[in-house]
Amino acid sequence: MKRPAQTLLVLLGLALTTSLSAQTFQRMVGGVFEDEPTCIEHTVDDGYIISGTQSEIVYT
Amino acid sequence: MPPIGRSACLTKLDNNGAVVWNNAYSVLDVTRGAAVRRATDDPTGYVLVGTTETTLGFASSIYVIRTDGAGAPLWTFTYGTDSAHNFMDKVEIKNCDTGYIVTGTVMVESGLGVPEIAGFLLRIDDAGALQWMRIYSQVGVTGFADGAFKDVHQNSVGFVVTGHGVSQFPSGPTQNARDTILFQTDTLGMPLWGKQYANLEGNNSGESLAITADGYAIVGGHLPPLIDNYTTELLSTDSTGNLNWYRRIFTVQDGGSHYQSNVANGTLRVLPPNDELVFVGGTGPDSALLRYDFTGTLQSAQSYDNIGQFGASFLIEPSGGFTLTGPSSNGLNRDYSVIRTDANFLSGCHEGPFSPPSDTPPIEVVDIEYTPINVDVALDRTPVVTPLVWIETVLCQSSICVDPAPIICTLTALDVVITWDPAPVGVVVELWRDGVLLAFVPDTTYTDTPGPGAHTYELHLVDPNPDCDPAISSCSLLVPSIISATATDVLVDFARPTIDEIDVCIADALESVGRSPITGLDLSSLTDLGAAQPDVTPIAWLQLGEFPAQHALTQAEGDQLAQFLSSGGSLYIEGADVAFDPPTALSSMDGVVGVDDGDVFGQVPGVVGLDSGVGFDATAFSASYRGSGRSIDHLSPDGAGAGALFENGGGEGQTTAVFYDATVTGGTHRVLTSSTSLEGYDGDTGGWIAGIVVGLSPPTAEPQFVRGECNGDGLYDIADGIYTLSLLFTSGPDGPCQVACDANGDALIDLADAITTFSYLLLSGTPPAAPFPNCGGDSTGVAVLGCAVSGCP
Repeated sequence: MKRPAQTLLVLLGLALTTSLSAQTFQRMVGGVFEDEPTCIEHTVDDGYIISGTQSEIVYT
Repeated sequence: MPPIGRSACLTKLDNNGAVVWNNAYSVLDVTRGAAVRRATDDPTGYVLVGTTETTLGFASSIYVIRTDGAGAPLWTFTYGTDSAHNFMDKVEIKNCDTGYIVTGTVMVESGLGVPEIAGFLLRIDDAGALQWMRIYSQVGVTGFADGAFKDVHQNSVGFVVTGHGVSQFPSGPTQNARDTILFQTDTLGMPLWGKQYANLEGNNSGESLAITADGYAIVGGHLPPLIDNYTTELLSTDSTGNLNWYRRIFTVQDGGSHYQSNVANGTLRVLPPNDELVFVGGTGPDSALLRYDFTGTLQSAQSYDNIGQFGASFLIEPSGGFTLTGPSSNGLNRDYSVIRTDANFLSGCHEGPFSPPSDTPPIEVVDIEYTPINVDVALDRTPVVTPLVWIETVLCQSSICVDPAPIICTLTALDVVITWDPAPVGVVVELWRDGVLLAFVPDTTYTDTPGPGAHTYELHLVDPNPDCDPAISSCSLLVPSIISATATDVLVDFARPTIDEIDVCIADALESVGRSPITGLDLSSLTDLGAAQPDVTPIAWLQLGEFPAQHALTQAEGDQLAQFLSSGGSLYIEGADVAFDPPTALSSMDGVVGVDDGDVFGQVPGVVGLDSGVGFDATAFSASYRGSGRSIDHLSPDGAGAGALFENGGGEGQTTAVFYDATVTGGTHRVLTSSTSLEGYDGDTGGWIAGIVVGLSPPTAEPQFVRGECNGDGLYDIADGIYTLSLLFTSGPDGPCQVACDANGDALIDLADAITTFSYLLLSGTPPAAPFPNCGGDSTGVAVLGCAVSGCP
């Protein structure tokens, strides 16, 4: 095996760029009845549209 | 008791999840909202689909409402309205090139007292005009016809659908009543082909369908026989429905939740760039997001404890995060929960990771056929729209007011140069290294000398507004610990061009046993390996990767490895097809062949270490295995000097690793070949790596010594007893061969050893333990106490 005395340089250009953060949240929205979401979709203004059903049930 | 009033709802949120507008829609007396999409002809508007019925006993119909961007109806129609059809609540609508395709399930009165349940497709144009509507009756079904359609996509051929049909598996148990289907029609809804994926154990139904790079993926519900506890199925097919793989995932409910539910699609999506499969489901009490790679291996899963039993629908954010919604209890009734996470499924509160187990039950794929029945009823309607005012509650949120600045880490010699784009005016730039603030940097570059090891740099852009959270971007790299010819090991990870966790783990383990690893991107550094440590066997560690991303050795690489082995090096090599690649010069030097009987295919829950019989005993290492479930090859020892080192812990003794010692046949090298990977073991991987180093190195000659001859002067006399006392009580020097000071052979050096010496020499007491009075070995004692310099020839 070749065993040179000179220094061996091993350079690692190992860069990994990621974005760790985004705006995150947990929210609840609803009324006095049973409100159940079924589907969420992006909107053109970067918001959301959600479909669902409101059932006129009140638990007391 | 009067019927319960129900209205469909459309709720517009802004980018922060705050309500912009909120409307209830009533078409007939009872109206349910099942799905919403942006309008095909004007994406600022919406289409809402669901079912509606009167309270006078008529069956339910399908409705579609087209609204403008503020939720005001532009047109509304019902479809399939007559007393013979009763549509189920789960309905899906998808955009087409023009217009829409709607799918769902309908109960059809057969006149025989037993209704038929079947899937339907509804094609409408951008104005809601009916183009065609067909109900699909499964051919060959006798008795109760239980079919359903759950999700649909337009493709180049027409429309492709998933759902379930009556099980066509000929020998299935009675509990196996229905199974998941994949059904392709032409553009007019005429059947082209259908496949059914018959799971012997229980009922199954595809709930959501995604188009993948080479076919389709389906997530669905699985109900084991006689157990009221839904699990989830996840499967992949090619473009003609042939099964690629199937996973049954325990403790998870799919998010579609069956044809009685009004939960719509959005439960399964393909995540670029690696075609991972992400779906929303539930763990029973909580909702969950789950991510699998394209071979069906779990990548990550997170549950959220403020939603009900399952999440209903989710989106992939352009930023890489996810937004999901589902029902959640506020203590009195259920409300909408809306959660936006980062790319790692983290939202900031009410969450936790989990790891659902899975298996691969036997699946029979059978062809199925459908007969379409036309339904041509469409009625113009005028819905009643009622604005809603709901309560909004923020459970937690982060607020980032500026965009993160992408940063790049570059290694130059031993320095790390970090560069980034200019920050907005007024924003403070903080640079963090490994979680510690490094500097406030007004410029766009910084040079750091962090020392060896893996490092992560974070750039925090801190907005002066105290309500804003820092915008964080990061980069990571590994600064090699040894950059010189003193290196003893080279790590080459062909499958992944970046240094990852397992590379760092291997390097740490090697350093812990006194070796000097370097990492490389190819085999170019092999010829210089071990130059400054001629007494140490250099080892190359090659990770070829897992199917289908494995690296096949080239002829040139095989030549390099052969030369390396011939020069006294040893080799650890792992990966898919490791013993099947086209022959190279290495092939005749590794003592292993692949067994061409297929692969274990996901059935390697663990590996069991064996004694190779040729100098490498791995019986102390066994571990459960969580590596790729796709392709674990069988290996076989080939020739003298080769022996099996691992076997499949869940199989029938298939060998998954082979050790080869070429010195048995006059060579100089050793090779360990494994079809499982180091990163997949749940166990002491670091200890195993240290064991590999020992196994791939020449056996060390056992030191010879005379018991009791502690001071190393070649005589056993009173001076040895005094030397022992000095060693114990005056911090005197260790003997040259420490184990020799253990006169009584109990693997301890203590007062009893001095007493043994004095007793024997002065009182004719018991002599020291073997080896005494002649030279000999004690491998156990040497291992515990050491013997730096042998006192014997």
